[in-house]
Amino acid sequence: MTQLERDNLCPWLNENVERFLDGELNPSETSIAEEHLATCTLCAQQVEFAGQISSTLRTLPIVDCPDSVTEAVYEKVAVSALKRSMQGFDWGRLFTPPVWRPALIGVVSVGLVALIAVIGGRRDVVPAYTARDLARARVEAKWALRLVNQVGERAGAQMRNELLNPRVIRPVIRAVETEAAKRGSKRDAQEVRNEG
Amino acid sequence: MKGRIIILGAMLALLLGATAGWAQDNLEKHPGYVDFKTLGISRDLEPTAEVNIKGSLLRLLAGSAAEDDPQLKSVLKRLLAIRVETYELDSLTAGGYQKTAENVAKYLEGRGWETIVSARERGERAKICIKTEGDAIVGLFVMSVERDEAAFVNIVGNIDPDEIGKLGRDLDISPLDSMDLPAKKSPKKTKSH
Repeated sequence: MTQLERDNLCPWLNENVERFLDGELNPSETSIAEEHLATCTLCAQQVEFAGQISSTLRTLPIVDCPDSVTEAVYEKVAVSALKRSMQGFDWGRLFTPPVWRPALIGVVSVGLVALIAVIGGRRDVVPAYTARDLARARVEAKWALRLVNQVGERAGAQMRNELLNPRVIRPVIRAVETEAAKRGSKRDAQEVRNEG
Repeated sequence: MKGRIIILGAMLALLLGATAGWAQDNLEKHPGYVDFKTLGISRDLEPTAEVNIKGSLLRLLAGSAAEDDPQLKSVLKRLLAIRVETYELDSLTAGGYQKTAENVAKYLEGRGWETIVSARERGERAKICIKTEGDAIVGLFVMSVERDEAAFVNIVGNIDPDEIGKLGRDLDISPLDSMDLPAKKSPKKTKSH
């Protein structure tokens, strides 16, 4: 018994009234309790009341559990056991501390390593492509590249025909021819044209 | 207990989803990527041909082309995606697509793209737009609208136009519809020079 309990015997005795009645307190505690009960009417009444309840309970007849209740309990236990056996592995045990925490940490660690590997650009998960897929992709890639080239060439040809020829090349040639004609040298003009 | 299992499952699903979706998200955020859907080019028509080569398939393709086609490998290994959509047009829809090509070019120019080729001839349109980062071309978008067909091409990655041009001229390609490849629709035709 602590000093605090000695100074507050009423609450202490209230908590230990069952042990007092059952004779479970040590001799020192029993002596203190008896001294307190001699002076505290309230605690004495409480102990007396508790004693009456205890003695009344002892005198009650023993009641047998009805068979229907017993059967129902056994049936419930059997069903529960059957369910567990049908589930096979007890997944619940896997996640009961302390096992599930390391397992969770392991899974998350593996996942993070995989994520870092992917983000680091080491290697993606390569789907299984068949030779047919590759052949098709190769044709498609070439076709796309050629399509780009065709558009570029067509646009380039159009630019040459519609822009460069009429607005740059032909005027230059005409100017050279005119200048050459002025100088009376058509041969020079022809040479210039050929060089152009 | 059930709650823990659900939480664990959800975490794993999120993790797997995040890793799988990362590559796709990353491509779509690439400055050279053009989302065809946002351009409004599909209208009510279904594409007659779709090409979408990217990621591991593109790398596998570059690797497989190493021995017999080093030039193709040289181009492919620097690319992230090759995407094409073609549409069959008629006299009613062709005009709409010509306007679409003009609008798309303006849209891209508003987002830092540069139109390097713009040609129009008797109801036909051709535009080539590039996206640059520094001195490098990181995206190429080509639109070709003719009377009977429209084609949109987006090439994402480190692009060398000269190399692609040379490769395009050298390629000897059978039309897609001559291949026995039933998984996708074939274009109505593939032009050849």
